[in-house]
Amino acid sequence: MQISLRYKDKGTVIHRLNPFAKLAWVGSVTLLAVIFEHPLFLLLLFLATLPVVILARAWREWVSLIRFVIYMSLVIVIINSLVMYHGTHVLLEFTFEIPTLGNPKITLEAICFGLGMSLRLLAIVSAFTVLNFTVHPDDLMLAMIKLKLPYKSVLAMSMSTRFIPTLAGDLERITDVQRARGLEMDKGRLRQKLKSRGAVLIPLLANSLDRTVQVAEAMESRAFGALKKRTYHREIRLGTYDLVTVCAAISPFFFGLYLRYLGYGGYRYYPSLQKIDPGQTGWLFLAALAVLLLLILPLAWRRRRYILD
Amino acid sequence: MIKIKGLTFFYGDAREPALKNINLTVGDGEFILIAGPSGGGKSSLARCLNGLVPHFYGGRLKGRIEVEGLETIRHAPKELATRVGMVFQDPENQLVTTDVEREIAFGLENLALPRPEIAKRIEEALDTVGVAGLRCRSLHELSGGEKQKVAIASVLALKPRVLVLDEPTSELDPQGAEEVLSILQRLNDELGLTVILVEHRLERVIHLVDRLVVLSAGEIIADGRPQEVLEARYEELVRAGVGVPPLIVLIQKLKERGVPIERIPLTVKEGRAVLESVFREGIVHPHPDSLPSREREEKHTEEQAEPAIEIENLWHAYQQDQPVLKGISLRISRGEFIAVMGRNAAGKSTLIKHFNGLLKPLQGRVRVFGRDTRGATVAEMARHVGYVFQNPNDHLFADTVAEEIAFTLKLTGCGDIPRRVEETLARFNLARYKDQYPHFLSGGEKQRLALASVLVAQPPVLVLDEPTRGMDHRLKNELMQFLDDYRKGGNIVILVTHDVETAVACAERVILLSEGKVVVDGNKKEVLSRALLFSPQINRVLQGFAGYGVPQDILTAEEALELVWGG
Amino acid sequence: MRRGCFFLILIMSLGTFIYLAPLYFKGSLLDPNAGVLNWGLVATIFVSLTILGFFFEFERAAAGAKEIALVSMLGTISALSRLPFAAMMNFQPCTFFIICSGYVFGPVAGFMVACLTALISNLFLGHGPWTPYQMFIWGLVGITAAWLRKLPLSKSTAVVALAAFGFLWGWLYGIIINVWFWTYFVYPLTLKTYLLTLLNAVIWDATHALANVFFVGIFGARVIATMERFKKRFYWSIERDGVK
Repeated sequence: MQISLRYKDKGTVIHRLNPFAKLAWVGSVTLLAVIFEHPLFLLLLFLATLPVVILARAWREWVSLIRFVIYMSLVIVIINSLVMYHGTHVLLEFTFEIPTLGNPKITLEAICFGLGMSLRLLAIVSAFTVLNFTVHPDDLMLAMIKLKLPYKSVLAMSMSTRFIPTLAGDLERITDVQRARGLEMDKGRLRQKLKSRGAVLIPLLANSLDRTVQVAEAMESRAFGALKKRTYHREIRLGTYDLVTVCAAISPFFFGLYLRYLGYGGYRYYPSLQKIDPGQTGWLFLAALAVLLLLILPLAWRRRRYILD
Repeated sequence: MIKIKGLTFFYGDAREPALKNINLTVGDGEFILIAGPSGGGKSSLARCLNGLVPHFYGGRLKGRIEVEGLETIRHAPKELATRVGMVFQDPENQLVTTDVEREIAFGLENLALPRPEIAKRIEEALDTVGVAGLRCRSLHELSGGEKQKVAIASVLALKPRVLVLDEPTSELDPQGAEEVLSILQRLNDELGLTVILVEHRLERVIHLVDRLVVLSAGEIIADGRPQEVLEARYEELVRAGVGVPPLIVLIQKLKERGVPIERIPLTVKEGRAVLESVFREGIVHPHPDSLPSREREEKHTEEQAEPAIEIENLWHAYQQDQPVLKGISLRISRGEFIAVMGRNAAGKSTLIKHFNGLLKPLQGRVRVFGRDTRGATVAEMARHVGYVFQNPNDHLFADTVAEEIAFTLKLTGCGDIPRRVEETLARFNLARYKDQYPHFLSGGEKQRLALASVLVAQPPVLVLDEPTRGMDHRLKNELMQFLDDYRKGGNIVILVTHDVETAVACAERVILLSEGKVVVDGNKKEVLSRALLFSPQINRVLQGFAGYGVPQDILTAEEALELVWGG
Repeated sequence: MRRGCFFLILIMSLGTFIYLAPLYFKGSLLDPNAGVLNWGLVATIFVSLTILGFFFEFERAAAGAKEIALVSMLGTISALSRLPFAAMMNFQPCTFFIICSGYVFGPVAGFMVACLTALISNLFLGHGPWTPYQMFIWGLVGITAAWLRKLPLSKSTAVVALAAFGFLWGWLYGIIINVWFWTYFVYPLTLKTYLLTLLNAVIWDATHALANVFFVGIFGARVIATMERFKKRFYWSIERDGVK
């Protein structure tokens, strides 16, 4: 089985950025994408993720995600255009009637709403690429510990990542063993195929359960649970500079929230499309938001070790 | 300081005790070897020392165990961790985190030590074990030996006064095992750490320890200085199935025949010194021509007629430009018993996976009974080539022992399943366990079952990958006897092993691989004598006695005795 | 147990409220279509808080290393089993595996295995706003599977019951997870649009439900038997002290 983490260490400035800053930034973009409706604002959010993706050299992986986004966008457009008949610019009107939905017609407004929402999806997926491709799972767990999430859960997750290579090795070995006994994995119909997988799954499960007992034994022998309190050898640094970066990463969210409060960023699609031009102050605010969103890049330039140990 | 008084222990609802009336006192700074056959209670005793028994395993316990002044019945393993460090058999199953530094830090974090202290102790632990170079590596990239060293380091970081190791080398290759053992010796010598080592292969460690404790059937049957125990209790040890090193066997046999030997030698060096004086004083004389076994073997090699397995210029690579096998050519005939040896990553496993088509040649050709493996599926090959893997657990799939055996028959499309299952169960002495859950059998039984589940299809070629790893002396002998019988039925047995003594015991032809090439291929006498690392103990002892007329290709204690007394 | 029960009732009633609110508070401040409250955010926050609650419950209930090692191993197996099926719509064995884990090892183990399944498999398949939803729903699957244990079932009827249970959860999974899509990308939030969103995903949910029946039918008895054997042998402390 070919398994590879999404994360690839490419050593770029984005990879070296404090994970809290990245989490905050991705969170900001996602939240903004949810509270904004205006297509220009959504477009800005999406465009703002691009330089980060490019700097993280995750471009190729990002492109491969686009297929999924396009499919989902299509669904968004179709659902929205099928249910909303309020638009005034009717592009196509069907003669038949769908029960409960009525006489379907497709309006320009509904399609535009769908497209707007696709931009929202695009911005969210694109922002999460940064998280998926540049934050190491271990760092994610260190961040969870720093956030004071319950330790046993974080430990369980950390142990899971540690079991992955072991299990992958077990799987490969057991597959070889059972094939050597004459098991044909790819013979027959789906049911038969899956059934023969059972000859691999059951030993894998039994071996793994054996392992858990032994690992637990080893943990207790190393004082696990001896004290209520525990310390951490490795922690994510949150010094002044890191805090500044994190604040810079969150700043667009608060600014965006304020803009939304002022009435910007909303958009009326129905019954007919609102004027898309946000006005002079609107453009100004957009520019300011763009600056805040990209503030993280110059801050990332100063490479610092973000792990204390 | 450990004091055990009148300890008797039962697991869960077991009727037989795992440990019976154990009395043992261990002084500070001792290096103790606990030996004995599998199932003798070694592991249970080790787990008593840090409270895993009974806190983790449950069960009933009588008697008193006191470790560094704490009674283990009252104190759980987590409290004893700073007094007793415990290292387990499988390095894979005692690592908790993903990289070396964090692994060592884990125990220290549990103790809530401040960060500078943790950093300091990590540094110390890395240096003590000599793995500072690994500090930033991911654990899954490390070899078994390296993992085990990290496990030791992570236990040492807690600064225990006693280190208990439960067969720490049984999953390792010889080199890794050697390194781990030398670390233990250093810890004991230089730091004065009390080391309690559970191990059943005496020849590797006997010369390092101060004291030998032998457990059999839950009881201590011998306890004392290694030389004394081996001398005074030799018969009992052999009867209990303890794997006595071949050198000791030879010396004991010599003594039985009246050769005066004062001190039992434990190392090759000591062995040579003893034999030197024996030969010099002319107490015995070697008779090189009185070795009858030699002719028989030569006759056998002449029989090689048409080959059953033909390998021509075989190349294989898992990744491009990194060939693992580089142009291997072999011919194997019926009735051969072959040992494939070599360092780690020499390509042994890759080679044998070609015999049943699990791997297909990148270049070259593999033919088994005239059939090219490239044109056959693994399932088709399974009728001709049986394959027993190292870990019997990987084989076990069914709910009962009988089903496990029947499963192979179904897969290979054999008829008359119930009768053949019964037969096989009887032959492998498994009939008693017919309806039991295979996974919970003991190690030796599991191994037999794995073997039975492959051999029930009667494949004319049997391939085994490290079948003796972790096996005690008696099980090893049983297996080897069985394999030899199987070969005599005209079948081919191919064995991958690190264990020279195993190879010597029954293989006739030895193939030595290195860097994906066959370095030597020939009779075991040619390959294994004078081969430094790959020579058995007896051969190494007898090297240098050529001047007395001792042939340099003697491999076993039996041969050495024949040499002296003519059989 | 009483505490766990209270927690569950609380999240279920809150969840139902948040789930149904968009459909019933037309015109009021709570109406998500009025633009005051962003219902997608509300739902996501609720789901995340619930998971946090799960974690705190685990912190309290997990007695020691054995339980932690157990859930992380089962979680890893479950997560990895999702990967080869990633291309096959929603035909995956995770739900089946979570059901078995919950059924055998109890509700706490059930929801932790579920959370780990989502967290770990998404390290490979990609995290997103959907991660908390997956953790949440699978978590519920794990918890409710443990309830089946209380029913007087024989070995053979247990498999039938689990298969039916899996079938049901296959659909429920779709019904809940589509809330994410619906509240984020569809306007207005009405029953009509919601049903249409569900309709769009009907193939996914159908394959999911079928896959659950399929996996329970083929492997259910064996996997549960294997887990039970180990539970009996090594996890005596769970039986004695109870995870509750």
